[in-house]
Amino acid sequence: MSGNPGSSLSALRPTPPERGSFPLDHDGECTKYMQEYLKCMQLVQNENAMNCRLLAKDYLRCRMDHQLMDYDEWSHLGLPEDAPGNNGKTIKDATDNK
Amino acid sequence: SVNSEQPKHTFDISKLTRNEIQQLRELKRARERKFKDRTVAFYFSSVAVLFLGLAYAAVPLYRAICARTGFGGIPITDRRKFTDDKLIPVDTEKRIRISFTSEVSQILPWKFVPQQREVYVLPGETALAFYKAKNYSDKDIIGMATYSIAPGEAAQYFNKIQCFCFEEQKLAAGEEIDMPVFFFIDPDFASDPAMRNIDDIILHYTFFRAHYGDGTAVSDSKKEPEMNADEKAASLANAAILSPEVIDTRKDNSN
Repeated sequence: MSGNPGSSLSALRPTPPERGSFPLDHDGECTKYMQEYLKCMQLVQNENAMNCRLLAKDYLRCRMDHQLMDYDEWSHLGLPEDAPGNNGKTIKDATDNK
Repeated sequence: SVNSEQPKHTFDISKLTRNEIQQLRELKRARERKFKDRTVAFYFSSVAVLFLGLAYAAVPLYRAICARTGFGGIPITDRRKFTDDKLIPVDTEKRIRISFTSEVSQILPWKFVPQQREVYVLPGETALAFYKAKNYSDKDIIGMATYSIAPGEAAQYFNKIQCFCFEEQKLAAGEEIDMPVFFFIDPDFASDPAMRNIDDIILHYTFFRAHYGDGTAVSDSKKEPEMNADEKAASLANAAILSPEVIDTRKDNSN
């Protein structure tokens, strides 16, 4: 099998993800947020920049809102908390209102 | 002189017949056997109760152990593994390049590609990446993905919070789906001298086709193909030809 590292036995015991698998987004409810995130990553040469991480946060929020992910605090996902003045709006909405 | 009989205080076994001695011995033996039987019954019943208790306790104990260690392939859900302090990015000069590659089994008629070639992350910084899968066949198919990480020594530091691997994913005929991976590199990566010279980590996913004994992993598509306007008109015309109009002959007779 190509890509399978054979040098280490530890690689033969893969660890499962902490929260299991994402449910499939059959209806494409969060595709818009994903496309914005991917566009942002292209602009910064795929560096995990803070503004792209905020778009990733919007995507995960969309999944939580559509029952495609369990609700959790942002600190448990390594993402910054919402700004106090946003009242839960996405960064894009806050930018549009300004 | 008055000859008074001496009262019998001692049990004189010599005066008993052989049969009476035999009966006494059997009586004693039966009493001992009864005691032993009761003792054994108590022991067995207590062992049974103990194992019944262990059986009831096994389910929560097993769940607790698996949540803590991931034993048996169960996803680790104990919060202590990925505590919040592990998700704080480490301030280092260089970023680690995470490259994404993919592969599909030859018997699985899917296309499966990463949406981005790479992402540069800091240890402890969570990152999101996307793959895209498309089912090219005319049947609903269940696939299952596994992953491998190169170099193998870095696999211990690659932590996936949520992805699409190790579970069956069903794609309807012709369906296209985005599949996210949410992960981070453990902050201990930065302080491990063995990881000093590792600048690249490759995350490789392979999709296989699921297989059931009764063949239900591949099913016929439930969606009916949509007809365009011309096809609908032709279909209606065919229906008109095949089903001529019924003439009520009684009208002609009355006229």
